[in-house]
Parts: sequence; structure tokens; C-alpha cells
Amino acid sequence: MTQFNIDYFYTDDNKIEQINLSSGSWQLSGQNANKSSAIVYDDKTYSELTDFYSLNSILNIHGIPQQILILPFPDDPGHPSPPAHYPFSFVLYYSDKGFLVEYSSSRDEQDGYYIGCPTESHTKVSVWNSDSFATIENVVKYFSNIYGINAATIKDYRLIEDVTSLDPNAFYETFKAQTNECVKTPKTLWMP
Amino acid sequence: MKWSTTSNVLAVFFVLIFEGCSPTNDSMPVISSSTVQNIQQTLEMPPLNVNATATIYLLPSPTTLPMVSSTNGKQILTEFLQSNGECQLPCLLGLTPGGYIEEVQNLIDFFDRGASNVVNERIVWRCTAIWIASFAKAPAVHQP
Repeated sequence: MTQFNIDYFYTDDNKIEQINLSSGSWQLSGQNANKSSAIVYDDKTYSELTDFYSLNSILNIHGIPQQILILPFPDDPGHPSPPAHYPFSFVLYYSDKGFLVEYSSSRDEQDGYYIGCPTESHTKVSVWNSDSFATIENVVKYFSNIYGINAATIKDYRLIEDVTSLDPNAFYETFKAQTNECVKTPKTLWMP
Repeated sequence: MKWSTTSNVLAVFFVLIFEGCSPTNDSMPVISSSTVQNIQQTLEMPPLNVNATATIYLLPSPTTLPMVSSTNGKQILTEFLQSNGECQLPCLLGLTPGGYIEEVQNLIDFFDRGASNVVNERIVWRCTAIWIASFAKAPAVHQP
């Protein structure tokens, strides 16, 4: 199942201030009480529908973002991974153009690193009236996705150049082409 | 569903569902108590630099529309998404921030028409509009 949510916010003068498009894909199984769902990151229909917002497309059209923020979401207490799954979030923040795109992939682990693959991900796009927003904190103030950037999680996000070997320029050069490259960051940098 | 520009006190809620319905609770991943705490933290955002009274109405769950069938719904959706409503970001799906909500009606109409033209693709659309008095200032949050 592929799902799209569109939220938009408007003021008392009927002006649109922010529009958000969230999307995701799930594999549903079972029936009635045995129903379950699993996140799918490589669904063909989903990829077709969201191709406009794919990482290489965004980078090729809009260039290097002002900021790239990442967060490998930590394990919830009492729910270690594995078997639990947690996302690895990449946020491309184009402050000058008035939009951001978040790519949420599966968070994997290997040899002391968290690994995320932004090209196998679910996408959220947010655009806003640049007259009304000065900071990314304002932009994400009303975001409601639990495992993504929002008012509660933004403090945990880090600039990509601070926690990986990539800076925004290197990220751009790597992902502007069609690639399955992934990003790794030392787990020790994310200890509470 | 009709957009009412005069209803600027209560939030307006649109539900647009193609082929199926929103994920039910029993189809969603299990979340832990700490996650619930995070949700609560998200919902209970402290006011920041509040200079005006503003209100967000959290709306009830979307109405679920019956499943519909068609032959070209997927094509309509795909073409619309693949062109982003024939505009570039920060225009999104043909909507421009800073514009007026009348523009949204075109999108709603488009989806409403498309809703009768989808077949066998489990694609769900949901659209929510929220009125706020002043977006740049953190509003109080009220449950309905």
C-alpha cells in the first residue's frame, strides 16, 4: 500500500503558509486480528509515483542544499534493534528556496557504524512561505511524523559534515547520479 | 466535499482516498511507551514568542470513503505526481506557499474526480487543511 498525506496550513487571511507532502509504502499481510504491516522501501509503484522527489532528481534540479541534517534514530528503551527496526533520516534543507525534503531509510548497523541508504527511502516534502519562516525550527514546528524531523527530534539531528566523511558538496557529487550508495556514521557519535 | 472560505473559525478537513482507506491501527507498527511520550512531547509544544492568540483545532480521524474502481486512476496520479502538478519546488503539487486557499480547491477537485478513476492499486490519499490565526507564532492546541 502506498500512502500520501497532504497537509497545508493557512492563516486568517486565507493565505497558504506551508504545505507538506508525506509518503510511504507498506506491505500488508494477514486478516482481521492477525493483520500486520511492514515498511517497504523498494516498492516499484512507490518509486514511480515519487520519482519527481527522488534524491538525484532534487539534487540535479536544485543543487547543493544549504544544510544536510541526518539522524539515525536510536532504539526505544526496551525495544532493541534487532528485532526492532528504526529509521535513518536525511534532511535536505533549501532555506533560500523555501523547501526541505526528508528521506527516511532503514537504519542498519555494521562494525560500529549506523548505515542509511537515502536512495531507498520514503519521502517527505515541505514548502513554505519564505516571508513567514526564518529558521528550520519554525519550519518543522508542526510536523507530526514520529520517526522523522519534528519539533521534538530536531535537537538530535546533526550536520552531515560533523558526523560523516561527507560534506554537502561531497554528498551532492555522490548522490546526484543514480546510485545505491549509503552513508555511515560512527555509533559512538550518537551515544546519549 | 466543498471548501467554505467563510468557515475561517473552524478548521476544514478534507479526506481524499483512492482505492482503500487509511492504515488502521492494527496495521500500524507497534510503538513503545517512549514513542508515545515523544508524540505527547510533539503535541505539547510550548508557546514560543506568542504575541497573538492563535488556535489549532486537532481534527477527528478522516472519514473513510468506500473503495472505488476505474481503469486510469493510476495513470492520472502518476502523471500528476511525476510533474509535481507541473511546477518546481517550492511550488508543491501545483500549490504555491504565499498563495491563497482558493488554489487548493483546484487540487481538491482534481483528487475528487480522480477518486472515481482508480483501480486495483492500493494508493491512499489524505488531505488535511488546518486554519491558524498566525502561523509564525506558536498557537495553543485544543482537542475538539
